Amino acid sequence: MATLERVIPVQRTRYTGLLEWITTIDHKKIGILYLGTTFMFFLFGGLLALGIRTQLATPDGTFLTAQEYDAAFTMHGTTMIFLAVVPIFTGFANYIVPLQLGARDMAFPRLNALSYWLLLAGGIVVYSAFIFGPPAAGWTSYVPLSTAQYSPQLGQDLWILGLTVLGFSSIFGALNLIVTIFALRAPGMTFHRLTLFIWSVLVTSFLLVLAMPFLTVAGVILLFDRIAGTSFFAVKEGADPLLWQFLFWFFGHPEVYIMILPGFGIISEILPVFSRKPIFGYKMIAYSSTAIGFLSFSVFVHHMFVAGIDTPLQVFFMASTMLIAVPTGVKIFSWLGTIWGGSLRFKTAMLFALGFLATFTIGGISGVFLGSVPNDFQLSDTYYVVAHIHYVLMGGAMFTVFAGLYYWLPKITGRMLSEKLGQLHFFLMFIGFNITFFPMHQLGLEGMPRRTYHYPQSPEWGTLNFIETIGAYIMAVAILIFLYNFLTSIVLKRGRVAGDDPWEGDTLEWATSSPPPEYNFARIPAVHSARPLKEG
Amino acid sequence: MAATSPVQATERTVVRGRRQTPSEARLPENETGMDAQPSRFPPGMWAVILFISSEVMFFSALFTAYFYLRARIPAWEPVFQRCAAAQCDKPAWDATTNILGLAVPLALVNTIVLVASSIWMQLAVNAIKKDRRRAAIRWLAITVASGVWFILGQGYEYTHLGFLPSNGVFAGVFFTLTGFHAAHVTGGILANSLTLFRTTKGHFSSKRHMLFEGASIYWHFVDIVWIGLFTTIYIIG
Repeated sequence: MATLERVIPVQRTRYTGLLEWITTIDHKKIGILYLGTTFMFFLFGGLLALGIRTQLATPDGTFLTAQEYDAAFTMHGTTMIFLAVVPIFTGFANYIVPLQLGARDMAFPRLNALSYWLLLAGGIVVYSAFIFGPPAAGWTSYVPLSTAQYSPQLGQDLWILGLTVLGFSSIFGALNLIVTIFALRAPGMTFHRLTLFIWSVLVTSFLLVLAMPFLTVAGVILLFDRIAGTSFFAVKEGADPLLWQFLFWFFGHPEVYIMILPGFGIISEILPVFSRKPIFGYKMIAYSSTAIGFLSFSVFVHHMFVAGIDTPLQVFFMASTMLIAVPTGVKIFSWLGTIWGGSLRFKTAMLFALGFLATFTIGGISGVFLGSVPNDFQLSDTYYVVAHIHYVLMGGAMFTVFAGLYYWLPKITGRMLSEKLGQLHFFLMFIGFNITFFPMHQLGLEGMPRRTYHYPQSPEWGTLNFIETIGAYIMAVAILIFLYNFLTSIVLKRGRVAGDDPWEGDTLEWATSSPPPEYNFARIPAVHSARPLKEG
Repeated sequence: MAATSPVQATERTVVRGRRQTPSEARLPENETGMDAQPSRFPPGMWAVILFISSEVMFFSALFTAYFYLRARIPAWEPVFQRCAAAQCDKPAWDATTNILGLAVPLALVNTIVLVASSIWMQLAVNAIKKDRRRAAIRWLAITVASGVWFILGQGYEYTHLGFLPSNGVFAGVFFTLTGFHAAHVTGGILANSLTLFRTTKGHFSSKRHMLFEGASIYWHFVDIVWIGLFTTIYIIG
């Protein structure tokens, strides 16, 4: 056969500089926009957290007024959940999933750009609340606190609108990812040859597509109550405010897994690479993700045990909550099995992955403990809940985000981050995290309520809170070190050139250049296993 | 991309517009001649299925609100049933029409028009699948007209009900549910009109009719939701 010349069509870049980024439909550029924007929001949320901790350093702190404190924890939760953790994983998925699939882009590149710009728009709408009187009803915005009577400020409306826009962003992004995974897999890539990161993104995306509409509806009918005079939550008309909690948590509990499953996926990528072993229990991890996805729709009432739920319902949801510990436990043991007997390399990404295993396990177990109805009666709305959620979201999700950043930033930017600074970042973060959040278990067991800006003059509570505040500042230093590392190693290009495969990974993203060209691969590969680069 | 030949060694890859060549030393060979693993549906159809799944959940949430409030409020007073029993002081039963001397609620006429339009839509899809363009255009035009009738009819009903969204729990629920449905019908009308326009321009054939079929699935979905809404609001109450 004669020489066969293939021409790869490349979308010509019509603009340069800023316009190129604004008009881009390349999944990698959009992924970078996602990661950059969401990390910025993560920093904003972190600043709010520092404000909260500064206020709580002493029992009668004067750093914030009561109203400002309420606004701070509301915006902190909203930012971290809707603008940081959920979309930062979408950013990873955007960048990594097409590469791991052996595809040239997402299935719908323009829809992908729309998802990102809706995210930014939603973020701006939510943050514009700071100008118009920020919302102060907590990230859950329980009715009646969030009704026009008790939250008359415009910021509450902006909160609803912003979250609705973010909901559309998430649904479009998730839909795009599912279609990409279904239709753009490289030849030979059956579902059992997908990477575990893609598996977790797939389950997460289904949760987003199916759960998000409930938040949209809850928000929209609250908005109608606030501005159009409907009576969905109006007690004086006989309606029932609990409706909000049902709708919100039917979305809210899948949301919890939306925030952790992609992290599970990242861990399942990193542990085998840095243990120099194949993943242990590939199918069990994939199937347990799916099981968690299904179960996540059937546990949501455990958020409402103290709200006056019938006992049979409580028992059912207690049982289903504890059931979800089973697939999660399967994962933990599979990861331990992966490390077991491996030849470990303690790079920063691996350290964060191991740190995640420790902190997430604590958060998971305190979750089971909280899921028990009598315990929940005692611990609802105490700092125990705050400790739990931060162990799973900060020590869980955010540790996996940092693990993913240290693992994939060399691929994304072509430069290695400094290991020395990275390790410093990890250890400060890990220590600061535990100093901040571990004492909260004790405070919660002693009944310290959350969401209060003052607390009783008690020597023990004062001391523990002061220690927590120190921990928060240690974490802030750790984040600054990460930013410095990023600035020097990547922005100023002082980091080592990464090369195609700095970690000896064996999934497809490591077979192309760092950073990959616009079309990802010179040609579409065919795969025969879940570890396509180890086939030779 | 052209099918790859077994003679890979002589092949050169030319990349237009970029000088940088990606490394492919470790990239597995592609002996299959395919670009992707076969998929059950084309991407566009997957998107339609997923989008409608999300919409199903959206309306599930609205129905949840309806039935939750209905169950929790002891004095639940659905206006239509109350008025049908002639205990209504509001002019709520205005939106009726006279057919063969019978007072038929306009909502029932609307329902029949909308449900029938699903049939016309399907006939349009069947026609384009057989390349019968003129028939497809005709059925599609009837579908669009039915949708417009429905929206106008509902607008008429809204203005003649005698209550507003702020008049109690039921009123708010009624306007929210039917209003969101009407918004979706409007979306469907727009999609159908676009499809109609493109069909008249000679687009779509027995081989290529993804958008056409997507629009029809969406229209059926909107229809089914209305059957649920009509049953819930006007019959069960």
